[in-house]
Amino acid sequence: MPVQFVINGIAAGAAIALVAMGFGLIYTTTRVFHMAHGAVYLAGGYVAYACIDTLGLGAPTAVCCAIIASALLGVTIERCFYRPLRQKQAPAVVVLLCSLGLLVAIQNLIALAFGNQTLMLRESGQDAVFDVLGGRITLPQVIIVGVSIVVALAMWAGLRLTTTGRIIRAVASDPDLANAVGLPRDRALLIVAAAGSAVAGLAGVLVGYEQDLTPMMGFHGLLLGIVAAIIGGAGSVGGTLLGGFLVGLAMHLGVWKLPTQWQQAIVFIVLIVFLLTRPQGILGKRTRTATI
Amino acid sequence: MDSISCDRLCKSFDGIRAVADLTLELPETGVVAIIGPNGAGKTTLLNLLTGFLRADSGRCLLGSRETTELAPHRIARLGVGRTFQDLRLIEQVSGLENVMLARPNQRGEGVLAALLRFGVAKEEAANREEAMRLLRFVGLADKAAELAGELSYGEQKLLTIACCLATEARILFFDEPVTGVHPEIAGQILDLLCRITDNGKLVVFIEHDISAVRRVADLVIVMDDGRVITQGPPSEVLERPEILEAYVG
Amino acid sequence: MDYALHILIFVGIYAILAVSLDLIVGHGGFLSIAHGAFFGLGAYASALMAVQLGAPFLVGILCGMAVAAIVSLLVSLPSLRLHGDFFVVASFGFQIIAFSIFNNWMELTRGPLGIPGIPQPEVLGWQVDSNVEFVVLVTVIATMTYLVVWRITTSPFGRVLHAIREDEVVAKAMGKNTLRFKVTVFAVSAALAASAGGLYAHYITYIDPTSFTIMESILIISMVIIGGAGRLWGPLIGAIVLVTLPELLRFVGLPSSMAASVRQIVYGVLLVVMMMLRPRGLVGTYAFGR
Repeated sequence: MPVQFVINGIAAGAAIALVAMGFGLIYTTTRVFHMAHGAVYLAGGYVAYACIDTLGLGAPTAVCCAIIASALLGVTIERCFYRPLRQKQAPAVVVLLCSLGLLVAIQNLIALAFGNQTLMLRESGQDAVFDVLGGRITLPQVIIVGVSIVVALAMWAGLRLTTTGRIIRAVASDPDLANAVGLPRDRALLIVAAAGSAVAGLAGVLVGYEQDLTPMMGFHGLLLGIVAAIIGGAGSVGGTLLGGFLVGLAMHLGVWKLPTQWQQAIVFIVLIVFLLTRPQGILGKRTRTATI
Repeated sequence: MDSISCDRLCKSFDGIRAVADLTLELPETGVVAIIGPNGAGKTTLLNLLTGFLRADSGRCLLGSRETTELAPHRIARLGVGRTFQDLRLIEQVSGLENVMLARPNQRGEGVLAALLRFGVAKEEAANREEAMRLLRFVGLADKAAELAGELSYGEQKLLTIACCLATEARILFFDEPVTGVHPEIAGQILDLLCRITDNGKLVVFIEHDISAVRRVADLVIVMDDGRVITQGPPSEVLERPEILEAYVG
Repeated sequence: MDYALHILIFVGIYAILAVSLDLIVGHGGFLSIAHGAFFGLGAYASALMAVQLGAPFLVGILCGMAVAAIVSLLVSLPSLRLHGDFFVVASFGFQIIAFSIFNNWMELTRGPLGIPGIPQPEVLGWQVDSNVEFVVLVTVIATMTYLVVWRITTSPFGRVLHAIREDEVVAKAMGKNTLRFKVTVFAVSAALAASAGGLYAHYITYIDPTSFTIMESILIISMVIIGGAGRLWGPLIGAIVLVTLPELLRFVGLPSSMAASVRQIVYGVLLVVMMMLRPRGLVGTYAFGR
């Protein structure tokens, strides 16, 4: 019954796309391999949980809190860690390791605070279900897909149509030139961190809502988001959206056909195929061709 | 001996044509200078010929062998050496180590040989001797043990020449070998460029300094806007009005 | 006393893991997050050879090393030609998948049930069945590993590797096939990690997937970073510090579920602090320089 797998794949892919969008935006602008993005994603889900479960707040408030908290976390990381390293002209490996350390520390802080067990953002099984082409799609799934498309459009519009967006794109395409010309690079990077992290946090909430929350989600969500960004093209909003859907589809079609132990491998194989043939992704441009 | 040439070479960056439909054949030996205003495409051409950039269209050739798609290290192994505008040395090791690094066909560079070391010591001794000879040739013998990062700018430029020679390349490209260098060392470098060709090598250098060009070049190639506008012996070319126009107009 | 020997054995195993990762990180100058996976690959290969096929200890270890080296090509060949970030992703992906395979391939690895009853090693007639003897075995293998790394890094191969680390473009201009060097060093590193895996399997005599997760990779990275990358003794010091320190935590009396998370937080914080303040580690000279 492939239709059901396709539906599940697209819904899963939507969440992956949100993570990918945030990661892609941050990567193309700051050139930092922001592994801590996984922690921001995780924080979104858990802050929402804390709001609902511990503080008894309503869902919409919880979602807002989660988004704001994620954005704040992302901005803090950019301001307190990446900016000083950038000013010291630290090599890329150093920044990457710092980011990895942040991911590990934050993910485990969350595990310490909330425990390692699976948490739910709501009671399951009460969703509205729609029949589509022989398969069934739940309301949460519809919401995730809808949100991802809306966010993609908003991000695309923001980058194309606002002044800030143009500044961000200028910084992304040529950071040194942008600096020399006097564009407010540091401020642009803070905005990028905020936006990318907010989107990741939202993804965390949605995943927690549609499925569940576990601390290890940080690593898995991050990896899938990165693969999606690579496949779709990190520098393109449409690309990361498309990449997300493709990764989700690949995973769920893999569930349909492959024995369990190979399901994750499908994503890896897709990644390798793209690295071999088109590393800039489907919609990406070749930016790093020259070796000099 | 194979000569380097290119045919209808094109390369653009983000819509800007750096090299436009360029066809050129370099001689087999001698000293060739490539001049032109900033942005003429000289370094881009060098990068294309040595494999560090992939052309959008056109061909690069070494003799009859097409090198357009070859990786830079493969082109280097075919006997084409080069230096870089921004120097590029391994600064954390000594000058001697840099030159020894450049020696080709080292058995010790295989991982098995690295472990078992059969014959590696002998090869290292031979390479060290050749490296010292080259350092003497460029006048850096007494600085051999100093870290490359601690040499003066002129000395670093001399070191890059020694490294380039160490590769045993027959065709040597030098990107701005005397720019920014103290005049005394500049003179030293220019003399070296001449002496290198005594062994049937081809030296091609990119420069801005016209007097340097006049002094050592057998052939001058003038580039502007990604194409060759004229070429010939310096005495002829450097008087032509097109040159003045290209630089001033 | 047995406890002290147990610590020594673990220091030895992790010393091997750390120095083999340092080949890539410190000497090659690029980062891999897959070391836990190769550790596991070696452990499973060697365990299965012993348990299913009754193969002798050395054969199992060598088999694990060969498998790891060959599998490493799946990660390195597609990605090392590209920017370093792609390789990190490939290694990250490989680590996650390796765990998934260890955990889900019930027919081969018995998944979460793990593989029990791994025999203690027998090396050329010498039956290693006490902790003291195991310390000797680990020390011998660790010493051999350090010799291998020392030989490689002080040879012309090492000279080119260090040059690639500092400026790959120049190395290419000198005719060096930089991809070959990086792929080779990654394969050697994977093989050495696999040998540690074999040692681990035959010491604990039981393995399961939870020992070979991404957290393991991060622990090993932390050892390299803290001790100091690019220097032979750095990884050893890192291994000593990060094996003994958590044992001290034990005496603080944290419940074990918390202890794991606290340990991970410490590793993460250490990584951040080191990168912000002293990238070259305690005794290192290489700061991933430019």
